[in-house]
Amino acid sequence: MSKPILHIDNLSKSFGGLKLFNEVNIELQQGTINALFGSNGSGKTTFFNLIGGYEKPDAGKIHFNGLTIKYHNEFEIAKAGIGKMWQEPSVFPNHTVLQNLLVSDKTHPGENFLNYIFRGNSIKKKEFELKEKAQNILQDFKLGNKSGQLAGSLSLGEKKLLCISMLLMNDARLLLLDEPFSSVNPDTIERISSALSDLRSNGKTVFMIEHKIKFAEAISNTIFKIENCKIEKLN
Amino acid sequence: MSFQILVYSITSALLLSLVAIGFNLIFNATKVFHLAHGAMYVSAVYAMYEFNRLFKQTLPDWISVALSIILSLLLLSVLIVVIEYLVYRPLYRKKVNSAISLISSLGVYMLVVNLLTFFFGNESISLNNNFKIVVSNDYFKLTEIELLQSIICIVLISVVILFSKTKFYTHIRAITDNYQVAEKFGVNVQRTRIIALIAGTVLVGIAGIMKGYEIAIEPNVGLTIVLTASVAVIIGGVNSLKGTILACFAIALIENYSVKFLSAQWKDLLTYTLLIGVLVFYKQGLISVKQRIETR
Amino acid sequence: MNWMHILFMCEIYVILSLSANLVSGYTGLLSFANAAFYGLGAYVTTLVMKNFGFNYFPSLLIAITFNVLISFIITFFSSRLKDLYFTLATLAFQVVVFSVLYNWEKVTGGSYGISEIPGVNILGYGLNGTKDYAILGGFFAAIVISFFYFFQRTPFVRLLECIRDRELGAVSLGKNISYYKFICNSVAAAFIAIAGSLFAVYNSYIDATSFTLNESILIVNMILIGGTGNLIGPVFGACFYVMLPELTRMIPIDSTQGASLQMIIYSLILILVVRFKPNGLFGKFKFQ
Repeated sequence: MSKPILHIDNLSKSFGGLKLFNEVNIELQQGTINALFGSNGSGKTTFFNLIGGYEKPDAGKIHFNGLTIKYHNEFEIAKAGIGKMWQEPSVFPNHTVLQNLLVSDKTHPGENFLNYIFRGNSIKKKEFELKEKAQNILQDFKLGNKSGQLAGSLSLGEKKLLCISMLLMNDARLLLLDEPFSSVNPDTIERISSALSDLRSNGKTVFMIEHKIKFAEAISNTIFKIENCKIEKLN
Repeated sequence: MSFQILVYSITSALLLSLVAIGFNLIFNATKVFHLAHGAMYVSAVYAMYEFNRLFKQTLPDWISVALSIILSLLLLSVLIVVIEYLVYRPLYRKKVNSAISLISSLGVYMLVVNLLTFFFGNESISLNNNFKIVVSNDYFKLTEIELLQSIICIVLISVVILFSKTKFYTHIRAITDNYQVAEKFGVNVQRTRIIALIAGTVLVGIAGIMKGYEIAIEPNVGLTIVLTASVAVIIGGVNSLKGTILACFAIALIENYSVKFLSAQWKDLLTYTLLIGVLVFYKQGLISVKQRIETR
Repeated sequence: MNWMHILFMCEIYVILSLSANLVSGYTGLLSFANAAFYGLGAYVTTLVMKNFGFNYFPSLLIAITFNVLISFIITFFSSRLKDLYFTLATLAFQVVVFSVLYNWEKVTGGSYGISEIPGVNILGYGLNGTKDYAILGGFFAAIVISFFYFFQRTPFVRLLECIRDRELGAVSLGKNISYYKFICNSVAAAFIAIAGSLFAVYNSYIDATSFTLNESILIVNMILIGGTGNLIGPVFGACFYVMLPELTRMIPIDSTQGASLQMIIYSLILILVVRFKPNGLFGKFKFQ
């Protein structure tokens, strides 16, 4: 039933003379949670940058959802459905939680300048629809009571949750998360875990880098490990 | 005949090198795009002019000149220290972005230049009008002042290159790379900044004074000079003094030979177009996302 | 004091500073090219009116189109260069444009400028006197202010602010950053063209010395002191800087000294504002 959403094909990458990956071949199935372990400096962040289109491989190809990733514009890869959350989650600090979500939508006519001349009504309509959708998502993530708060004033854990909900709003099919469980308290870990499980039930795929092996293992379908320039599946 | 242009290019390049090295040191040590450097260049000439005028009345010529030079450079050093404490240091502490420090430096440049204009007027001044031709053959002519300029520049540049092998210079480079780490390794950032600023300012002051003996200077020439020097620093590599010097030669040659094809009024245009070209084409990858991610 | 004249100049500078705010306040990239576009707007309008005999409004449209096309250069800079280097490139661009306007005697009249610029003719009524032009200026200023007032609350500007605050975050949401920079730069260039053309027909004479780097710095001062990111800041900054010379005019010194004194005051304000109030007096956003 599951089909591969991400297919890495003979990927090789060196960085400053150091070989990081040598003909790596892995596959991620749609609707799964996957974790990537590896010692510090083994290239986990670079690997995610390669998938996200922020860096170019030396050799090999990356296929996402049947398309091959081309390294021209990073925003196009994000538009195609690969969402990324860094260790420092990128929320927009001077805007409210709700506004952060509204901005995350991919198809808002209000973000096209010409539409203000010809299709003003569709903009108003979309704002209304998006506000509803955003409120629902906030409820699911239990951030509903913070919708008017500036994102910059949230705690790190709440920022992470907000970031994940923004990726959901953005219709990301594959979420690349860089250490989602780091530096957050146990309560937030619980909330993040359950958020990720919900994403999985909705057909989204999660790929996370994590050091906190216990928590990652608890919810992951598949575990990968970087070792000796290769990535191996562990279970 | 074209040897004359070559010879002139060499002397210009040497003078430009002084300015560019100064700019390089300051940019590396403070991360400020020090446009006020151009104001220092011009101020040196005016200071020299006024001091010399003062002393010539009572002292023999050569003492007057020597004393004036020393006092002018001293004055400039005081001025740059004041600028550091009032403007640059607070910005450094606030960790502002680099465009802000550029605007501040531009503000300082404008303040100094307009103060000069306010007190001395817009007309050019010249330190000395007597050029004796010292070398003259079929290929080129060289005046006394040009020869003197070249010798002094070569001496100073050699001093700087020697200095670049010292521990102090590695302090400057450490600051460029990462000043927080540099601090942890015991580099006295504040002291390094001051020394670099004074050294750079003294160099540009000497360059200004020497040029003032050759041609007339007016308050507004400083901007083009510092921007030309910055082009050299960018092309030659912010990290490389030797590269900067080489770039100065390249620029001087281009500028002086191009006067053959364009009239002199377009010379400024050439410099600024060169600057744009260098920024756009040479700085490839400057905004590469990879860099952005890594420096987040 | 000729209040109508001051009003007219306020209107022009309000347009200029709101446009500069659109570029710098919303993209976070400080541009020194404003006076260049101001000058281009003035010269293109003038040349079209004098050489082709067009009326004011068609000439204005041509000037706007020209400025928008030239603004592609700035858009190009903003997608390739960051912070400091972008600002430097716009500074160089400003000086290059000035150089061309000042030296290309055949076309621009060089340092002699262009005089006897025709006035504005609306449906047979020829504008006459400062008051008429103040009304025309007010008309355009009102359009520009309304534009920004309306746009402030839109999803478009919301996204612009997000891009300014965290560009990488916007990229990872699939937003095409270059498109937004393009819109900002183009709209700003179009409005600045209006300001330039108004100045040309009002003054009946233009030369390059009105469009120098100093002028760009003045415009930057306006948005710095007033603050960026909202409407009040640039409007305040514009009016403040138009009024200021009127005060210095009262000091009994000769005119070159007066010009230097003005610049001294401007540079002091610049240094002080950047140091102590990077938000400007009313602004929402710091260049940090």
